Amino acid sequence: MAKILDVKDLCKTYVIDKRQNNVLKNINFSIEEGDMVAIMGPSGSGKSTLLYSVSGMDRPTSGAVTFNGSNLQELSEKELTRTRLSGMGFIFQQMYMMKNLTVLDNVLLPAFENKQGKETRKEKVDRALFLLRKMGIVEVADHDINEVSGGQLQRACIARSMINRPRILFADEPTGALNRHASGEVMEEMTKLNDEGTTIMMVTHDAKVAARCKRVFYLVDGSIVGEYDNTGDKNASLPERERKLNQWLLELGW
Amino acid sequence: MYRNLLKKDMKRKRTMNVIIFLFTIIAACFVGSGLSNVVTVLNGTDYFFKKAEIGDLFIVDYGDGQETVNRLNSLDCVQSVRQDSCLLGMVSDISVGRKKFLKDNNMLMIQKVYSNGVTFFDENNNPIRSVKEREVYLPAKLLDLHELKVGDKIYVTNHGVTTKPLTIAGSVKDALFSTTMMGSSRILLSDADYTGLVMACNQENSLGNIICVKTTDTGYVNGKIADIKSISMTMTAENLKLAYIMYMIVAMVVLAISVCLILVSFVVLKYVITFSINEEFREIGIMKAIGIRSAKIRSLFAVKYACIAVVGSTIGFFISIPFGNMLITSVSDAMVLGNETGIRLNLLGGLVVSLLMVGLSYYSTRKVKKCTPLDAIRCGQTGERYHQKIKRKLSASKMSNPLFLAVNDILSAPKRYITIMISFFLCSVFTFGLVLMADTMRSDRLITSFGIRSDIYLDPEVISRRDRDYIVQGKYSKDPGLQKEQSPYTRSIREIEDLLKEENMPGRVCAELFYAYKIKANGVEKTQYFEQDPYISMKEYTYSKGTAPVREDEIAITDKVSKELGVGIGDTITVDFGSEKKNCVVTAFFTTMNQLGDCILLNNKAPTDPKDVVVMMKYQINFKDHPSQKVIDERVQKLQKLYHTKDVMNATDYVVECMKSADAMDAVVRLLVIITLMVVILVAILMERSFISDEEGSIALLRAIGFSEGSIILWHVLRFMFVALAAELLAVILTLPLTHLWSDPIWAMMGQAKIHYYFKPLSLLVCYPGLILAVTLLAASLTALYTRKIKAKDIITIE
Repeated sequence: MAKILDVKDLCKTYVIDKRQNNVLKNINFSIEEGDMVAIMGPSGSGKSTLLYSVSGMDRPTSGAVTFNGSNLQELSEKELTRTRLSGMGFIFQQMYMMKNLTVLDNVLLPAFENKQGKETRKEKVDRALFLLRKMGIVEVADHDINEVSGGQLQRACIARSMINRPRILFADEPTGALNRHASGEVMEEMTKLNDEGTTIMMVTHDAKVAARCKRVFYLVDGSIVGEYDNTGDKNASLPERERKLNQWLLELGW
Repeated sequence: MYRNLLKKDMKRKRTMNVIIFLFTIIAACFVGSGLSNVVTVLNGTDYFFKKAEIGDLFIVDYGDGQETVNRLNSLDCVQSVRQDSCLLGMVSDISVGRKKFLKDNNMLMIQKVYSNGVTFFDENNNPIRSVKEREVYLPAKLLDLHELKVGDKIYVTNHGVTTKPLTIAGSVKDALFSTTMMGSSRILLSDADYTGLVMACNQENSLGNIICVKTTDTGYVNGKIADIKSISMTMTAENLKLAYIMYMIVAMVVLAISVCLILVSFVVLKYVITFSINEEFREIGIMKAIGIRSAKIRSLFAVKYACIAVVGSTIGFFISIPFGNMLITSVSDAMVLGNETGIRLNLLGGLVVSLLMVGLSYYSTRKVKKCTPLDAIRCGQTGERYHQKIKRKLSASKMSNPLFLAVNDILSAPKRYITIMISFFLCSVFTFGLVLMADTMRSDRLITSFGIRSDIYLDPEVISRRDRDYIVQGKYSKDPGLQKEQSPYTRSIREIEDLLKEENMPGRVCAELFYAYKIKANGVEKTQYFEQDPYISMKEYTYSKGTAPVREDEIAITDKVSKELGVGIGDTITVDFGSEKKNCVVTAFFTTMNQLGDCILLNNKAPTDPKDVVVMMKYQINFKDHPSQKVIDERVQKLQKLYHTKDVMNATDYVVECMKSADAMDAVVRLLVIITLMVVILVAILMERSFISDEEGSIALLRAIGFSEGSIILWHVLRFMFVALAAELLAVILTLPLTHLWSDPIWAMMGQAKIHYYFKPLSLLVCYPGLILAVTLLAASLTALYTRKIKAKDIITIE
């Protein structure tokens, strides 16, 4: 499998009140196409900062992030925006959506913004409906975002992140604001996407969610202190995989 | 608790608080200066006349004035009489250098400053108590008209005697003669220079008197002095106010600007406060959830806005003083404007804004009482449209993302955009209305208000001066041949017609002559102005009612005369033509702006005498070959060369000259355009900034999902473009009816009962709306650049 994301010596430092705060320290890892990676760690360990730094939403202080062969640090703001639009998908914990638009229109926004490709507007609408159907929420396509449940909204966010056929999907605690049932539904959809070949990198606090991933990075104080490979247990049941992952996490001080 | 919460709020919601603070300053400035200006303008001429102490009636007496003063003093209703003696002459008696005389046939009064006379003011509104030797004060209208300036040296000649060079010390604001509507002017010399000139002239018939009377009954006084031969003119202060009508139009425009700014301030302030409180709805929910009482929550907001209001209003109050003065000084260089309340009204403006802000903030939090904590938290920022059905769909539209988002935002929350629209509309509609007035004043639409329509109007000074001198020097009375055959004016008209024929552009020449005769009707006695053109048919005039006066004892009157004398069609007015008294029958109503509509049209055969002519308007030419406007303009130039004068003009230029205030109007239009643009810029910047602050989350989201900076800026700018377009469109549509509404009464005061505005498409459909639109877009675009500061990663920190 080809490397889609390669991170080398990534550091991120914030200066607050003249005090230097090293949030990420010499992070190194790579993700291959079709991978599904979870980042775990205690609160304040730098998980979200790592996700946003490697996805080009934030610039690292030093180090290199290579996405799809291009070093993100060398790209201009405009090029980064274009890369995010056509090559990456984002899912946020808070299910951010544009007010005064329907669920379908929210999904369509990045598609209509993307001028690359030859798809017509109608084809884009069809694809959005296809994705919403796939997520099981096509019946709320014309609803106001205030009229749908949290789980439905997060699935709409996943559909939006997938609309431009991204090479990689970044998710920041995608189930963090959902109940157990909705969380299960969302993860089911994400697993399916991964099975279909979409690379996923997510931040989570939930071992049940991370157990569905192929690899898990454990982050403490800005450094990756452990990596768990779940591929060996792919035939095991989800509770079994979750049990083993919990055991590994406990060893690391979770 | 208040202190701590306020401190945190000020820090956390800094941008929104700064915006409210700025709006408070602007509102206090506009309201304070607006209130002060409203009072100043409404008392405009009263304040000036009171300061100048001109009394209730003024009289121009061409004699020693003794008979008039004695008669006045014998009347019980007369409280005081002030008398300014002067030398009478013509403005053309003033020369720059010894030979370069001013080309101006209007009357000139030369005098010194009398301690018991009228009070004069300099350009800074300070009373002129004395004039230094070898210095002179001229009214601003003479300085402007003849391109003179302070420091220039002039000479004054009277009956062959010329003064030493006099340095212009400044312009004088003279309540009686400074207005451009009064043809006559008065200049002030030092005691020594004036006395020297009087002694040297030693001509009894060049002395005159201007007498100001304070009385309780001007009508009674007028009747009692009507028979005094030396009186050439009487005018009540009420009628004199009409001579300031053009300044008052400008002043009224300032008043309109002030009211407009006050309205804009209130509209915007209400919006900003409501908007800001809606933003804080979530916090309100949390406060309710932890058990803080509704009244306490509401008072917290009231305290916050009170703090902003007090500081903002104080700053606004201080700015309002110079701002108000700037507006009011633009009104006139001929008037002393002010009010007796000083800065108290500015202070009141600040207080009103403060109270309004606290009231509005308390009112805007009324929902707090009714809603549950859950409602408030769930509704989040606004939450007002919880179950609203979305009608517009991006999926079904062909618009680009920025365009759709902009349209959708406006239609989804029209209230917030209506505020901007009202602000833009108010400013635009006043600006367009004023532009309409200014354009009309600079067109030939009003030409029939100054006589019949002609191709060319000319005043060959050589001829008109000769005619005048012929009468003034008594040659006319001694020339029975001329009296029998024709008047000096008729002779001049024939001369011009001959010249036109020689130059291959034959035409008919005529001229309007004005007379002042004593009249009596319904018990009212007064000196009345009459106009007559002996050289045209009476049917060439336009009458609003009745039929043309065809017999020599038939007349047409204006609405103003009708109201004043209480006469209508079929009634009679007794006119004393000097040689005979005639009972003239009113057969028609006509409209004129000559003498501000206080005028009667005589039949062309009425028994007038050329020596009674008070004013002769320009000679009017109607070419027999009906040339195009281009040819007319070429002939204007040709006649200018032939007569060596610039005083040859087409109908449009003639209207501009007669209106006299077109320049002042243009200046006010410029001022209003600047103020409108300032308001538009301020509203656009502050509104856009508040939108960015409100939409930080949406902007960060769009950035995160790959929207370019350009798309986001375009989305924001397009909203302003649509709102400004709608406001401009509405303003253009409503300009005509609204301008009729507010300006028709002003025209009526000037004698123009019905006005047909000159709608210049380029100016009102393209230039001004385009300018406002362009400035709006520029201000919105520059402010929208701030969205670039919001990065995709900010989505993490946005609540």
